[in-house]
Amino acid sequence: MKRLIPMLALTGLFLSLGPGLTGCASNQRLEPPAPVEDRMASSRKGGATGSGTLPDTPMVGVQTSGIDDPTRLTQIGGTGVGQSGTTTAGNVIYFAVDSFNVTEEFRGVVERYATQLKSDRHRRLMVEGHTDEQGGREYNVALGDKRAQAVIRELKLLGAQASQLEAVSYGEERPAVAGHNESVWARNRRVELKEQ
Amino acid sequence: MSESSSHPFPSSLRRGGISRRQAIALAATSPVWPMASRAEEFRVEISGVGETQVPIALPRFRNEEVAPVTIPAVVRADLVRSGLFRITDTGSTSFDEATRPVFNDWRAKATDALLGGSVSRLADGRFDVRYRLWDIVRSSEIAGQSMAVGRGDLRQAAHRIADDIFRRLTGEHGVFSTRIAYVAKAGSQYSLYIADADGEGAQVAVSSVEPIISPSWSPDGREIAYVSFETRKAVVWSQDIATGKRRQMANYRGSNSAPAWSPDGRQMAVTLSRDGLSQIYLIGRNGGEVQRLTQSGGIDTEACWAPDSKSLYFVSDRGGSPQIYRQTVGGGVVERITFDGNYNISPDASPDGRYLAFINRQGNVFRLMLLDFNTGAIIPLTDTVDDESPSFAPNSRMIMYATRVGGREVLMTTSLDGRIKSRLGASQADVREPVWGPAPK
Repeated sequence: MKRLIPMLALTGLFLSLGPGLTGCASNQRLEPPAPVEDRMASSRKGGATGSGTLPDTPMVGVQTSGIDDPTRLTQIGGTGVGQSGTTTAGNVIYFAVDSFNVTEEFRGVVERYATQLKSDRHRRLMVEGHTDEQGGREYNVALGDKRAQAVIRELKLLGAQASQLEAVSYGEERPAVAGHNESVWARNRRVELKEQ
Repeated sequence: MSESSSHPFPSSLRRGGISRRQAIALAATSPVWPMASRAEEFRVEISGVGETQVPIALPRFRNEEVAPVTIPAVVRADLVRSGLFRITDTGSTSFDEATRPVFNDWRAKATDALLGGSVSRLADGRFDVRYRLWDIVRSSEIAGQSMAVGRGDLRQAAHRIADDIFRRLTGEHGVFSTRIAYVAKAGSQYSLYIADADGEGAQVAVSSVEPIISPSWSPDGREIAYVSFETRKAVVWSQDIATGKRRQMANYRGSNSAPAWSPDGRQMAVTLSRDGLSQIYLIGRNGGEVQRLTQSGGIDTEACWAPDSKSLYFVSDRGGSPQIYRQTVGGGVVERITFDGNYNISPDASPDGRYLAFINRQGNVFRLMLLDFNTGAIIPLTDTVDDESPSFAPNSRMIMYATRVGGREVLMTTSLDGRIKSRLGASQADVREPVWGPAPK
């Protein structure tokens, strides 16, 4: 739990600088945060409905508050990490519009990861699907999943085991590049392979 | 269909008002800013005028300036936003509930109804808000009330007055006292807000530096489910709105997304990718084992319930492109709903069961559409090109949706004929994923 403590200061900052839509929101009186609840820690251990496949990366600061009594504050936190991990050229596979095919261009990336996974069965890979910003957010989560599943299929054909792989999707929520044109979108339609 | 829904106004107002309403319709201008007294929060854009708008006079309340909220201004904005009322110009005159109107004078102003009222400060710091509503056509009183209101509840009191007027004059329930939820992104911070239906009084329910999407109200309005990426993957949570306490509803291998509480509150539909591609599953209200609903070789997601909780609408690419389908919960009968174009997503069924709102793509244009189940007609409701996430008001009279205006993500409401639109919240943040809460029980 020690690692969660520094987050208190940060989350307090978020609340005071929070993007109030209105004057009313900024009138909220928020007391100093209540003690941190260790919900994330229990889900890291695979608690409740947890599948035990959560990435072993630092958790992200999240705080909830009750609406009818804004002085009550549930705080759930960890080390704040705002962006996805560093992306190197060798762990991203790009896709054409509305496509789920892993093209020949990225064959080498898939083969390299498959070889690593075969040589060390303890190795695990998060296969993270992303889409461009066009279309609905929820449908894009499903599209990103479909891309991630396509990469997982290739990895399994090359000898990786299903238990080493988890497909997740950010949909359009984590673009690699900001902007609103096709050259930007082409760099956002991707799957990122991330070691756990 | 009930009499009241096909003819929304009491016979006295219909009978007396038609020719005057038409005359007023001719004088309509666009856009209008209905609230004169303060720099107010949102803008109402009128791109036409419905045939059945009731002209109503809402002059200043006597002593309205003693309260920090201008009650009639909030009432005016609510009624205009509904698309069913037109505000008769009364200049800067005030009118209170204790004065008997000279009906002939008000008829001469071409109005069908009149609201008068007053505000005074009570010894305990609260405000005494009084109002009376008259039917000018029939020269009779329709409603009247007084209430003692704390400073923080003045807006809510104004919304209740607007609801009372709406109900008396249309025979239907108003939605001005309801709440909405939406997600705001400011910098790298995502916040799920709960706000009044006009976008005011927003409070943060949950905040994170990882994305939050897809809020869904429980039918009793006590919980809100959403998808949070805080654990580096999509997980469905449901949070008690009053206490802020929350629980994981779905955290399976893969992505957990698109929560939708059933209208009877007994279960939640979610999209899971735990068995491969995204499919729709049902979870009991207290969590526990999931039951797979859809069985396709493609993507099935974005479940939305029919009002009877017996079937769901959802999006599937099983036919080669994303289209909207309906499936019964028990029998598994699947019916395709949309056929025009190759991209129809984000269905929302109206609570009265008459309509389906959804988003259609033509080229790079994403537009809010309305399907009328009775006629089969599908009409576009906007002229914008980035519409998302339609959500019906609990009285099925308005739709809230997200779109992009001038490069900003904004929230809009529209009447079902697309003629009356309003933009909510003059926010500095990008706002999206609106969802209209249930009517208060």
